[in-house]
Amino acid sequence: MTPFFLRMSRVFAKRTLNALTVLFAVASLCFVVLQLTPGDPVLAIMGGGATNATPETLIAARHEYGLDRPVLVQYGLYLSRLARGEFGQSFSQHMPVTEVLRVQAPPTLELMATAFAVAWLFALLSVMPTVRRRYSGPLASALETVCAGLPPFWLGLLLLWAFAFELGLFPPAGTRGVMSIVLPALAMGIPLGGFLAQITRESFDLALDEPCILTARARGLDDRTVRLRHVLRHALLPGVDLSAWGIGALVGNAVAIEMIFSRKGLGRELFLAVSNHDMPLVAGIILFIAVIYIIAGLLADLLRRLIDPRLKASYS
Amino acid sequence: MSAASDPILHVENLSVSFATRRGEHVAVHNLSFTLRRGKVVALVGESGSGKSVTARSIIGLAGAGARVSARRLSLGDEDLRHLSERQWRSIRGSRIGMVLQDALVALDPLRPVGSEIAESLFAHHRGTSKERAQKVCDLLEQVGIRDPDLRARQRPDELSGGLRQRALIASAIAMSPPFLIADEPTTALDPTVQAQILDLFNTLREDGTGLLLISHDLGFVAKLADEIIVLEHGKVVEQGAAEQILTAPTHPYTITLLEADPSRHPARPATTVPVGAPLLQAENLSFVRKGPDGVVRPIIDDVNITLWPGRTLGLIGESGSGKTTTSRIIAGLLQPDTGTVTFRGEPWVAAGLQERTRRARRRFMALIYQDPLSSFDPRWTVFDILSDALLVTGVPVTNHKLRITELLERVRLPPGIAGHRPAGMSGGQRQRVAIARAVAVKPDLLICDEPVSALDVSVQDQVLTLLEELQDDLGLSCLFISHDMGVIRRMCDDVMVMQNGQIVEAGLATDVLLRPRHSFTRSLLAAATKLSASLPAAV
Repeated sequence: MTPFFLRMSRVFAKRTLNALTVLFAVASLCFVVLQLTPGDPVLAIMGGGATNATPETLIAARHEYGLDRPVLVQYGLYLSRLARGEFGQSFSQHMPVTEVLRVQAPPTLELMATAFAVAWLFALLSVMPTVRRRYSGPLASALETVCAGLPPFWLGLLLLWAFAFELGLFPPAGTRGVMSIVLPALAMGIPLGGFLAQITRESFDLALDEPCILTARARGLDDRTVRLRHVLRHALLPGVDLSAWGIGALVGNAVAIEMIFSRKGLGRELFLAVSNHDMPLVAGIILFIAVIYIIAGLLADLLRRLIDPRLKASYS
Repeated sequence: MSAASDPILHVENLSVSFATRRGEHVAVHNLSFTLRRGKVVALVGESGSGKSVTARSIIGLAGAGARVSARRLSLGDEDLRHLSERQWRSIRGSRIGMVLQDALVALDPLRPVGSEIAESLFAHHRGTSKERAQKVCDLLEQVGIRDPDLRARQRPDELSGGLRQRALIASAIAMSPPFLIADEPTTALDPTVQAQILDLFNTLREDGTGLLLISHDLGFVAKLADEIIVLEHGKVVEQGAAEQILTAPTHPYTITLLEADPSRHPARPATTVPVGAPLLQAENLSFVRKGPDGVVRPIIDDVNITLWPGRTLGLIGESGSGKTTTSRIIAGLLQPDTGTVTFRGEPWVAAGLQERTRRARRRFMALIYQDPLSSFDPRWTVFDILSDALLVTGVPVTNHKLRITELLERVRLPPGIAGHRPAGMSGGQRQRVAIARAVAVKPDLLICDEPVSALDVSVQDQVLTLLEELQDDLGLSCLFISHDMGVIRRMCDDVMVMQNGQIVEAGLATDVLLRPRHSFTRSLLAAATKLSASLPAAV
C-alpha cells in the first residue's frame, strides 16, 4: 500500500502547486487589467463622477487606500494581502469582500449546478437513444447543433418573454424559490448541453463499433442495456473533459443571465464591481471563480479515473 | 422434444449482401454446412473472404445494412430466418455462444472480467447476483484459471494474453450453449498460449460443444476440425472432411493457403559465421522501468547481440519478453540504462551520446514495423512517402520519379499505386510500401519487428519471399523479430531466444531449432509443432 500513498501524495503535491500557480496568475492578470481600465478608482470610491469631494479629500483618500504609491509597490502589497487571505473591503459596498462572497456565491453556485445538470441531462437524453437510429439520429443531431449555437443571453430573453411574460408559468425575476431558477438554468444549460451532446454523440458512435459491444450483444443483452452498461461508459470521457471547460463558460454566462433575470449572484456583482472600479471585490470574485475552476478540474480528473480505471496505472 | 436434446445447426445456401454506393456487395454466397454437437466445422479464408459476416449472420448480428437470405437456417427445430429481436436475444449466449479475436478489446476493457462473465448469466436472468458470482468462479476454474476469485476482479489489461482469452471463452460458455462460434480465437496470441487455447477447445468439444471455428490459419484449424470449408471472396471453393482437404486439396486456392504456411518452407540452409568485423555489436544492454505498482523491474537485462553483414538474426520470445525494447535500443530510439551499441565500427548508443552524432548515420539502418499503417502519415501518398525517404539519401528531386518507379517495381507493386494513400490499400500492399521505404535509403541493416504477423498467410509468404530476394540482392543484414517459429526457421541464419528480458539461448538457427538446450526454447518449439499442420515433429 505504501507506494500507492506515496504516489497519491506526489500527485496531490503536484496538483496543489499547479493550483497555486494558476491562482497567482489569475490574481496578477486581474491587477493588470484593472490598472489598464480607464477611470479613477478614488472617484469611484467617493461616489462616482457626480462627487463633490474637494481635491484635498481626494488626495487624502488616495493616500488612505495606498493608491498614491508606485504601481509595483501596490502590486506587492496586493499579492501579500491576498496570500494572507485578506481580501479587504469592497470600495463600493463598504463591507468586507468575504462577506459579499458569502452572500452572493450560493445563488450563483446553485444556478451553475442546476444549469450543469440540465446540460448533461439534455445531452444524455438526446444522444443515448438516438445514435444510429434512422430517423431520430439525424434529427437529434441537428437539434444539438442548433442548441450549441444559441447564445445564452438571447435564449434567456426568449425564455423570459415566452414562459414568464406570455405564459406566466415562471417568475420573470428574483432569486427566491425553486421556480425562479428554472428559466435561467435552462438558458445556460441548453447551449452547454448542445456542446456536450455533439461531442458525446461522436464518441458514442465510435464506441458502438468496439468489439466488446459485439461480444455484449452476442451474450444476448438487449440494445438498451448494451448502450447503458457498455457504450455509455466508453463514450463519456470527452464530455467529462469538456465539462471542466464548461464550468468556465457557465461563470461567463452567469454575468449576462443574472443581469437579465435580476438574480442575486457573483456574475451580476462582478459586473457592478468592474464598472465601479472596485478593485478588492473584483479580485475577490475572480479568485473565487478560479478556485471553482480548479476544483472542477480536479473533480473531472477523479471522474475520468473512475470511468476508465486503466488511467490510474498510466497517470503520472 | 428430441431435437432439443440433440440439436443440429443447419445452414443451407446462406447468402449475405450489403448495399453499397456501387451497388450490391455480396459478402457470402451460398454457404451450406451442418454442425452437430461435439463436432468442429472450420471456415477458412483470408481477410475479406466473408468468414466473420457468416458468424454474425448465424446469431442475427450481421448489422442493419446486411441482407441475409438462406434456404434453411435452423437450430434444432427452430427456424432462425424470421426471428424477432427478442427471440434472437434468447438464442444468443444461451444456445449459441461467440468468442471473438483479441480478448483485450473483445471483453469490455473498462470492467473486471468477472462482471463480464456474470453478464452472460444476467442477460438470461440466471440466478441471483450471489449465485452468479459463484458461477463465475466455477467457470474460470473450468477454463483452467487458478485463483478465480482474484482473476474475476481484474480487468483484461491486468491479465496475461492467455488468461484473458480464457476469460473471454468463459464468458461465452457461461450458459453452456451447445454451439460455440469462435472467430479467429487465437490470432495474435503467442504460440504457447495458442496451444493452450487449442487444448481448451478440444476439451469443450469432448464435452459435447459443437464448434464453428473461423480462422485464416489452416495449421491451427487442422488440429481441431472435422470439416473444413475454404472461402475465397465469399464463395466456397472447397468443402469436405478435414483429412481430405489437408492431404489432398484440389482447388488451387486451398493449395496456396496450405503452402503459404511458413513451416512448410524449407529451413534456411546452415551457413558458418563469417570472419571479419560484425556490422553491429550490442553489449550488456539493460533497461529498467517502473511498473504500475511502483516497483522497478528490468525490461531487458544484460543483453548481448552481434549482427554480421549479410546475415539475419532472429529474435524469438513471447510478448512482453523484451524483444521490441531491444530492437528500439538497437535502433537508437530508446536510451538503455546500461550498455553500448557499436554500429559500422563507431559508437552508436552509449551513455552521453547525442542523437546529433547519430543522425548522419541513421540512413544505414531502416525499420519495418508490424503495423505499417500507423508509421505512415495518412495524408501522404505512396509517392510522398518514398520521396521523403529518398531525400534523406540526397537523391535529387528530379530523379525521384524514376527511382520511385524502380522501388515499386522492386517490391512488386504497380507503378500506378504511387498516387494512392496507404489507408486505401491492403495490408500486404502497405507492408510492401514500408519495405520500399526501408530499402530506399540503401541501408546496411534492416530491423523488422514482427513484419508479417498482421498479414494473411499467403500474403505473409509473398512478403517473406520479397525480403529474402532483397537480402540476396542488396546484401542486407537483418534483425528479425517474430514469435512465429515457422517464419524464424525460414528467414534466419542465427537465432536468439528471449525470456523475461534475458537471452536464454543463442546460436546458429539450425542448432537452436533442431537441438534446443534451454527448456523455454523447447516449450516454444513444442507449441509451434502442436499448432502447425506440417511442421516435422522431430524436435
